[in-house]
Amino acid sequence: MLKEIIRVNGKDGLHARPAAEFVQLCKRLKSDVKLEKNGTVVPGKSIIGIMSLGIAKGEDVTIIVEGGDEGEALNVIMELLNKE
Amino acid sequence: MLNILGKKAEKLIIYKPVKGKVIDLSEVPDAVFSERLMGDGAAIEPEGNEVAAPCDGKVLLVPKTLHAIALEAENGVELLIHIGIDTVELGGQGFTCHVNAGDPVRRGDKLISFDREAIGREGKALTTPIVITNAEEKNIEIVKLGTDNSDVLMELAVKG
Repeated sequence: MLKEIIRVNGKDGLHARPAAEFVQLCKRLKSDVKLEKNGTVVPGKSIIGIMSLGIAKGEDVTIIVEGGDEGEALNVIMELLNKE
Repeated sequence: MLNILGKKAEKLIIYKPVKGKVIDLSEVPDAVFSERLMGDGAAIEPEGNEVAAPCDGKVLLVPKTLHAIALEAENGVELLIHIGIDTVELGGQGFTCHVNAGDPVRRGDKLISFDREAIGREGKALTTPIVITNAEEKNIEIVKLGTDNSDVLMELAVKG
């Protein structure tokens, strides 16, 4: 299992489009992805779960990745969330 | 009773949360919806100024900006109602929410009121997409869409 804290840089945080893109990405990965903010953990495949975290620009979120391709999975997730 | 192989699809009727013309999602001027990135569904060109619960269920989420609401129907179907296009940019202005996350709702309960004039003044369209956000997971299919004058927005078959 890999865990990494990352700052979300998109202008609307993890809202609508970026959240939807994140979910699409998680569905393609073999690894299981979870997101955590302030102790609340949600599945990476749940758009409502992600939106319920209300992650704004500049906020930190913890990515938890577990599975066969977890190293590579974490890299592509970081790339997506670092995008401005 | 465990009968996975022979499980019959459950039917779920999603009523219109607000009266109005039914629009195909592909015609909504926001790619997140028209490309069905958020999920499949339909949109409405609202005639009124109040969004009501389209089915019985529970409120899952109301964003701080009050321009959308997510509900869970009794059989686990998740719906997102998004009032207007790019209305997240209004920061809540023009919207009044009458429920909180976790509240149980019955079909027809008032969820969010919106000020058509105030939103229009900001140059935002009121087109309201209603999408199913867990269709793959629950194996949900849209069987048919409602017509402009009916109360029904869509009929779903839930096979999950």
